[in-house]
Amino acid sequence: MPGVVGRSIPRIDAVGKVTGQALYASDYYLPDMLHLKLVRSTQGHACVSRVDTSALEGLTDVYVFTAKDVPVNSFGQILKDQPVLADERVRFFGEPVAVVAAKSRKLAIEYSQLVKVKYQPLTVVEEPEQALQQEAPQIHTEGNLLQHFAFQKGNSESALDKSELILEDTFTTPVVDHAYLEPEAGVSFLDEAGVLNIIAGTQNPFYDQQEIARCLGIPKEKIRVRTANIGGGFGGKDGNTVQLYLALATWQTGLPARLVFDREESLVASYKRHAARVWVRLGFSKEGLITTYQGKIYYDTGAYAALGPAVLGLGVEHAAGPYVIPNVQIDGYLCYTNKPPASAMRGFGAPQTAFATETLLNRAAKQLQLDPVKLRLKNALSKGAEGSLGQPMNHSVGLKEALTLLEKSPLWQERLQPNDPDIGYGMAAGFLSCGMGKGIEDKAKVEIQKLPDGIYEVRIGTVEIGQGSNTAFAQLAAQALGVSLQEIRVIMGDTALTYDSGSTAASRTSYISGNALLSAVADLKRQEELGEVYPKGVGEAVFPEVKEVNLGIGLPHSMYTFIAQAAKVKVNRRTGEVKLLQVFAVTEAGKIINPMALEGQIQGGVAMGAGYALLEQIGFVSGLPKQINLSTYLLPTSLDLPEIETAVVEEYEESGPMGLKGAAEVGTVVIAPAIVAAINEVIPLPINKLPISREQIAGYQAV
Amino acid sequence: MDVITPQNLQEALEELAKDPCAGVLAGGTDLLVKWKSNTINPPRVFTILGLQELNFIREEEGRLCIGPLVTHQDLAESAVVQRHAPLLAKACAQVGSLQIRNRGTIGGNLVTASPAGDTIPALVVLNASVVLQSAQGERQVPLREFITGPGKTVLQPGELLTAVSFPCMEATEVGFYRKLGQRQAMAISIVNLALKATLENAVIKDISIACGSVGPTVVELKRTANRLKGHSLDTSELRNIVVNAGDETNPISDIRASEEYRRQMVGELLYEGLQSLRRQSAG
Repeated sequence: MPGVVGRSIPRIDAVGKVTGQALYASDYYLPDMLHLKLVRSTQGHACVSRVDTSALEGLTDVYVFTAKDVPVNSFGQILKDQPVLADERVRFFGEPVAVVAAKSRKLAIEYSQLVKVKYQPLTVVEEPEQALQQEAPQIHTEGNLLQHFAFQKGNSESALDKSELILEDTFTTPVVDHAYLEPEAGVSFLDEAGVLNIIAGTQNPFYDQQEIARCLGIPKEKIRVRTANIGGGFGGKDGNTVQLYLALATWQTGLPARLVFDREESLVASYKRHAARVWVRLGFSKEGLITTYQGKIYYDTGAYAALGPAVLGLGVEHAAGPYVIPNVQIDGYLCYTNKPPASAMRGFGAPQTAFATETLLNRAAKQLQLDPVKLRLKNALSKGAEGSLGQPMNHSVGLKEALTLLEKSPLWQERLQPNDPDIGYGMAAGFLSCGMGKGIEDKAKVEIQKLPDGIYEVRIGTVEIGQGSNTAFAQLAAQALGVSLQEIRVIMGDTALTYDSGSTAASRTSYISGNALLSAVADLKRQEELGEVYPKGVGEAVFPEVKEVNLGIGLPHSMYTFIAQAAKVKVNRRTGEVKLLQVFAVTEAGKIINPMALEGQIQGGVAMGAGYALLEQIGFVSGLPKQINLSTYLLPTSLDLPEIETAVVEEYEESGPMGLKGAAEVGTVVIAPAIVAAINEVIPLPINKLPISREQIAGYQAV
Repeated sequence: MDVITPQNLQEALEELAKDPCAGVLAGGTDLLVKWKSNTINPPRVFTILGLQELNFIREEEGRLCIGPLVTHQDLAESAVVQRHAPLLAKACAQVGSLQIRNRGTIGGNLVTASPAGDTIPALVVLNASVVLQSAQGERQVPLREFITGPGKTVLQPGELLTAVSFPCMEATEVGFYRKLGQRQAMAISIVNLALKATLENAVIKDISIACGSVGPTVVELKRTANRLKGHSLDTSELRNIVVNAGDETNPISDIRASEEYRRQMVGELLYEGLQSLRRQSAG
């Protein structure tokens, strides 16, 4: 129906979710199912000399699986460096060593405590710097340096010589957790045909299917993985969480199984955001043009690669920010340490480097006596410009428009008439790539069929993880077909019913599956014209790639979404408390299909970024996490979050489905440096570390 | 865990006499957390939340008497408490979150005896005492003596805390309460501080100051209080007097804050409190 796209439509699954009818992965209970409990490492780094399960021998209705039960005991999206169950060595606290299955959750927990693992502790590698030292213990046989990425453009040294202002500093960011409402969860069973079924909270059922087939030696066609309603993913459910353990238990016993991580397991042992140490040097001309970016970037990927190399890639790609910079020199290092594997998390490597660069830019604005918005307007990318890695901006680029909207916002105007010396205003700009990137398969195939009841059924292989993509697809289909939303049914993320369209990640889903969907609708219309009564259309799409530049590891990307965000804070100089009073967030994501959904994504991203700025961290001492539950790992509550006003730049991305670009992650990228800048308007204390330390603010003595 | 529900206070005390090691469950906001984390595992608990005779707020002969089962939210909203002990209402309003305040009780907060307990400094400066009742009789204990260490009280097996009471604040008295936590709700105090003072033309005639989370039990800043007596709230010396008030405390470093920061914050919160008193006396 015309006018469906561009309207704030309530989510098509909202009623089911708010009334409790929608089933999440942790809501499934199957007759006679086993409850699984993982036996996890109590050491950060150790040799495993023995896994003693003898206490469980002779007990009925209990099963235990160890490394020897896994035919191919290694998995990973990029490198197969992680064992399903640790064998001779554990490399992080909480690493799974055995799976215990019993008739109830209580029994599974009890029995799991009877499994005795004997460890010989090894020296723990705590930080990337330590990992790279010669005498550091080698976490993997190939060494602790998983990836080094170097990039150079222009001549940064001679450009610095000619620069009017040079600023440099080192910034650090912590390990943080996704903290989705629903922890990692799933169930498994064998159907009548003997097919192994997994229903799980996952961002990529097709990857799960492949990995289960590979690790357990099960033919792919005997495995069906589908997604339940998912209580949040944010990147943390892209990879193996529960899937391989469920498959192992059900395949070995023939019985249904359920595995749900408790919150403590999810916090301590699931995928994390990379901690980082970023050194940046920026050069500026007298007019405030950025002449040079130099960066040395160390990302801590924890014990296993997971998506780490790709995360480092995006960290590097976004390091210099959304600006025109002629001279660029970047070295990125990805190091193994004895921490939980760091992998995808909303923003995917960009928030770490953005914190460094945007903070330095705000310091430069002060020194150059330029408004921070003006400084960015002078340097902002525009359509046709060249990005820091030499990539062309051949898509919609609405950064300058976003900055202008921000400049005109009441929040930023208020800054010009300050009336409270304890209140400060700060801003930052950012971007995030859409799609998998150069050289990495990025395509989708979608089916749409008119059913006898008059409903059009859309089948899409990507996943609804709470981002609202199913509603966007229903809108696109309804608009393209000229029918009402009620006539569209969307099925997503099922290896038996949909085509493999890759991971629900990389801010790609609405774009790539949307394009495939519109192509499928066109195909269906052709068949309808040919007189087909129940026409079925199939459509495919491939993500565009940059032609001119190829830097390996997926760099660069062909498309970005842009933001400009401002924060207003009140600082208590005596106690160091920072109260976030207001946020204004502008986004350019092409045509907005559902303004309300976009607003939700941006507000959620800002909330996550505010936690990153002010509260959240997991610290480690000798490989043991210090924050092990939600009373010590502190997320912002509703009382800690301000009014978050959003605005959009009206753009149209020619290559996107009805003009859209991805916007799931970008909202979380730069609110931390905006908050830091706002604090710095109150006190000029250099803040180089997240989360922002109250003790540091309280200890600051005005000169 | 067996849960037993006594029908009235008498029955609860008799049952408790028979099984003095049983747990007592009121709002459950502490007990259930400890139970889940395996810190405690009582085979039997008496759930007393339904005992209406322990849920009251009464004004009696110049004292405010509060039943142990009054929730933090009820105290925060109570007009009587707001009139006679506004600093207690303020303390209660900062406990946990609305959900926790609707469930957690004042008696529970005292018996839990956390060094960070949010109501305790307020009740200490109010000179509160508690009534401990058993099948054999009852005794009254000053709150200062009731809590002896982290999680430790003088409550004997078989005894139940059945009331907390304190003198209503006089017209000449003003109070202040401040909690410093890592976030706006669901936060364990880094430092909390309560003070009550008698003012005469903005001069401090008498003052008592208590703070939590800076020692094994609530710490009263007696030396600082003595130094403040006789000073006007308008004097510029106030800051010098309070800036090192933290020296009277004995904080530790933990996951929430360092020892040094806590000590520094004692002085800062006290200074904030004195500024607040000044505004109150002016208004």
